[in-house]
Amino acid sequence: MRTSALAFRSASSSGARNGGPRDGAPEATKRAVESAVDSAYRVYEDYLRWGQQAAGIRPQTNREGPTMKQPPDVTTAMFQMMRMWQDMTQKWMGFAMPFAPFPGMSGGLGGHSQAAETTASTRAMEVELKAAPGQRAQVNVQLQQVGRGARLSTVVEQVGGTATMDTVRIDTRAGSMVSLSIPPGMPDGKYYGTIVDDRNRECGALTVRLER
Amino acid sequence: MPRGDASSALITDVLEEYGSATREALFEYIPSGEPRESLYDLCADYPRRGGRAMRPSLCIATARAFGRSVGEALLTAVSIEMLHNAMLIHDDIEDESEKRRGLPALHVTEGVPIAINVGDMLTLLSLRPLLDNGERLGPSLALRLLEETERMGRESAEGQAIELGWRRDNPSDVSEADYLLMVLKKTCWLATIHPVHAGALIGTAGRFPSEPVLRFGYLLGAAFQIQDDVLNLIGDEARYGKEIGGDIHEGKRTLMLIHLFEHATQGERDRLHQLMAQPRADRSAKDVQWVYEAMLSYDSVGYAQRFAQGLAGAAQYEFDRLFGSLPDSRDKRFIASLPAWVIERS
Repeated sequence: MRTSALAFRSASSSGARNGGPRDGAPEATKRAVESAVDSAYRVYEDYLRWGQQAAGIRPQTNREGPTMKQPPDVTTAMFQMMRMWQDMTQKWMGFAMPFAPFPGMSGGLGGHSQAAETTASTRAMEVELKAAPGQRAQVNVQLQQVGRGARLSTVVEQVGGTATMDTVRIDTRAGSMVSLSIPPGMPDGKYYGTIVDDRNRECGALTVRLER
Repeated sequence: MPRGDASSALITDVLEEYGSATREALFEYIPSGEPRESLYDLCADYPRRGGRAMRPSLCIATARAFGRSVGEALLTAVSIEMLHNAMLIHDDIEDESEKRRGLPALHVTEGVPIAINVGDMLTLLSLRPLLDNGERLGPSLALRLLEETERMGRESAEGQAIELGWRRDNPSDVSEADYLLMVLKKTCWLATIHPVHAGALIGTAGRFPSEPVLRFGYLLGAAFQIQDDVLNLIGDEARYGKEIGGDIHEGKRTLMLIHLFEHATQGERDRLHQLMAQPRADRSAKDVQWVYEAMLSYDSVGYAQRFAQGLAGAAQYEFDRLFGSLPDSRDKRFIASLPAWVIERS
């Protein structure tokens, strides 16, 4: 290991030799800056080209800079990606959160209990829950800001199972009302659904936990 | 107050505020049980030493610029800071660094095996806040942030591998483009790209595109790294927190070294190549001094400073394209001030 002190000094206190541009020369500065920016963007574009498939990033070679594009309209491919995303989410919940409470849940389960978490950007929301006698359910809804009257829907699927709840209705005409009736005979477990609007854009998520 | 001073004060304030919040939450994630002396107490060592907390602050500030609360971004910020500290421990071993944040590096005081294990544990501990995100942000976004973290970790390790490979193989033809790619992966992903992207994802419920963030984060992070390399040569050791000249001693391929290789005489290049081929322990203070003098002589340091200025300017441009439409806020101004700050800091 190094033990003796080094006698370094400021870069500006030395004169540059031939080969390198002199410190402070405007032309040299301009050239260095232009060269830096050009090199940097070229490396960036190469990086995107090499890595786009693995990274899942769309290349954008406009050197004028990126534009803040809105996400494109949902196509079939996008819808398939969304389905894949939901499946991944369910798998993840299956292994990563087997015993963790759902967001917004507080305390244990109670008969006909319900819980709705609101975040800073979540509009006022009511949750109406109907369940068969003896069935305990807990519901959490997270919803982004959506326009009044937005048509929202979700299909809630059992995490790690095959049961589906298609009895969720979301009414946004006056505030947001989420009504959910648990069909009799639904198996216990965790359920999850992504809330989408009429253009299949993700607007939130709904989680349900059933227990007898 | 002059504009530059106001920006500097804003950055100091935000870093202090978000850094403190992050550290406080971070310590909650470090177990207090045994083994303490050889593990958990040491996990808290680097975080306790302070640091700028630029990464977690960038994450929180970005989420805040989109209108979210500090609390919504805090766990992600904690994870970022933990992973950063874990990587520092391992980097210090790999680089044979002697100091970190003004004190002896962990492997110097505790030995390499224990330091490696502490780094491993910190890496694992950084996952827990991301899992806990599910309760606050919902499972979709929490999973997305976990995936983004995995991507960032992979890019960082690849960048580190590129640099370590250079030190092992001692190539003399490393180009600026090679260096920038290495920096993009090794530095930018963890320092800027991931924190900004994570904050933007939190701010938009997972719907913010990756690519514009990647571009801004890359330019900002590269300017930051080059300035960091410059400070390693001409900085104030007390403020910089690492040994001055350490990069030359470690044989790191910096922009200054690449510039020197390109502009030195054949005889100087041969000597430089020979020096870099030596094990670190064989590189004397006199050797390091010679390299440093040559860098000054060929204005390699000035060149790197101008290079960083160019990147910072481009980062500023990309910031305007990326965040220009957001309403004015303290957090937006903080992020906007960073490109200038990274090249002005000493």
